[in-house]
Amino acid sequence: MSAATAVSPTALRPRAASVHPLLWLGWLALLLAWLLATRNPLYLALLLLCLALVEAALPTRHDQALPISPWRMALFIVPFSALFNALVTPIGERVLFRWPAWLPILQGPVTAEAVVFGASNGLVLVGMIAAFTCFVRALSTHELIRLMPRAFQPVAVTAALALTFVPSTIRHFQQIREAQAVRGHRLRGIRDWLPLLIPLLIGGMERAYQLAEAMTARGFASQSQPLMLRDRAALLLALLAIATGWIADAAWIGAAWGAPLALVGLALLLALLWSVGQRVPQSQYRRHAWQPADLFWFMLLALAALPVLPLSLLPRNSLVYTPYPQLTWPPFDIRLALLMMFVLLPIAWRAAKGGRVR
Amino acid sequence: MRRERYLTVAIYSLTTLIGLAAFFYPFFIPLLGPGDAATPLFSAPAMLAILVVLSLAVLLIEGQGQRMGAKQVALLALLVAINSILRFLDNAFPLIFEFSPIFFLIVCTGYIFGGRFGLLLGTLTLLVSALITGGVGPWLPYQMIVAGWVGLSAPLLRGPLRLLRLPAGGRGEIALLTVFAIGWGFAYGAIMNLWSWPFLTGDPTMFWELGLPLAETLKRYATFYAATSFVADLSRAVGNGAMVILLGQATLRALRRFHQRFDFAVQPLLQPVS
Repeated sequence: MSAATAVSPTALRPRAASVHPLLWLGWLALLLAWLLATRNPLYLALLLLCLALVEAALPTRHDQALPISPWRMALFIVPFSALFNALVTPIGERVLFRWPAWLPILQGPVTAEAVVFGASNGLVLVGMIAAFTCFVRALSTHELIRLMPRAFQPVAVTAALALTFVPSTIRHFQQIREAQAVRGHRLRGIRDWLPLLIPLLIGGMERAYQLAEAMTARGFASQSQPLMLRDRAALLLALLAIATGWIADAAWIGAAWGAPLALVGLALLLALLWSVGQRVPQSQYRRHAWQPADLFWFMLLALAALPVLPLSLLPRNSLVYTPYPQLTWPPFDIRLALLMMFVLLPIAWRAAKGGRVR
Repeated sequence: MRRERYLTVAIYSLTTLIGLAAFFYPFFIPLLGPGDAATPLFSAPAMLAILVVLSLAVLLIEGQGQRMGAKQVALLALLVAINSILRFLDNAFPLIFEFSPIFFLIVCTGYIFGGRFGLLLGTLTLLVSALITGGVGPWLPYQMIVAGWVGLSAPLLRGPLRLLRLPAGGRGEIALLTVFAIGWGFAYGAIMNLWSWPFLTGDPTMFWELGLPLAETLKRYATFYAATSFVADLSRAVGNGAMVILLGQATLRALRRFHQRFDFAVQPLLQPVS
């Protein structure tokens, strides 16, 4: 085989060293569904523990800046949420203390029920932040961009280019700052940013112009298909259907045509997005194909999602916990807890893929 | 060409109205329907969250719908990168309360390059900066669409500028942009609060309930806003205004210079076959 026709087999073989990125999306959706379905502190603590274990199993990413760990944020979020709710919700039977009557805004008792409810809300928020942190850590930034639907190809290309520009722009900024510092420039206020911002802007736009010429030389003259007139007309029709159906449904409750009309508009919109996406040519370089193991994991995720759906066969009373009006010990159903532990699946993916969670 | 322009304006307007209605539904739902009837399908907060996401999708589809050449893509990518770095600095070194330097460039770029460019710059800044800072979360679509509206609405200042016969590059232009940036400093926070306010429960004097009259809903939101966001939004508004006053003139001059270069396009004349 000549050098001109020799092709590396890894470029053609589908990537099998990690699970399909859509599985991570399914995992994220499952986790969010569980977090939003309950305020039971026991279940929330279990979910957060599982999240911590998954995060510990993920490799460290050096190409990402994560200023604050979600677990450190929890040290602030949970107490703040509990305190805020205790201050604004004077409901409950276990009174911790009462505000003096002469205080202008703070009135009424501060109750244990309000503290517990606020802390539960804080745990949900921490869980959501930690879930997204794991998701973003598990996938590379380019895998995240490739998750965008095909209809958004120009936006995805621009986002990918912007990510590529970030390191060089940071270096350019540092060079400008050093050059200005040599000339006696000091950063004291907003006005002192001008000698840094303008060279950064002008230099960056020059680089963008050069990049545009290079892209044009390589055949990227413009996107393949702009939005056609009939697509725009269909878009407008779909929006009108949604707006009309929504107003009818909200204004005349009982009007049978409101909700169906809005749903038809939504369906038309989704069909249009799909149709626009189909016209975008898609390359097959390093595609991520579905493996049989990926389908197995997907079915497990779907099974774990069943309890949060309205059609669940398992009793869901323990999910709906509230400390009001009297604080009681939250219920705990071991069956639901075992299904919640499916959020540990990424650790199983690591074991199955030989040590790589991604 | 004119037909396409009218369609574009209609799509932007209707999508923005739907998106705003999705955010502001707690205020006008009492006006539309009887309070004691069953909950209509589309007042469910989750359904309205879907509408906001779809509005964002439609705005992006329309924004990218006209043919974007290599120059527009490269310039947009570069400006998104610069703005994302500013947001990264804001996250890594928290400035005064909620002041964020990203809105300055979104306002100036939307004003010079047009609403479509400003919309894409606003939405992509939030998206790319969330990717590089790990700040992806359920709030992201809301942040993207509101930041997109900031850029989309910036060209509306051109009308008052022409009406008042203010010269481009003068102090009057800067004054208009300052007022605009300050307004959006407050509006961004006030609108963003609404993505979570209907979901919160607690003190009956500041949280939303279905079935309340409009005046009571407004009063509760005002109390909630004053207690949770006003100070933070004030710092954002003041910061935006200060940036426009101190950095605006030079930035607009630079952007105008490159607008002429990037907008240059060759249109071949049709030659008759001899």
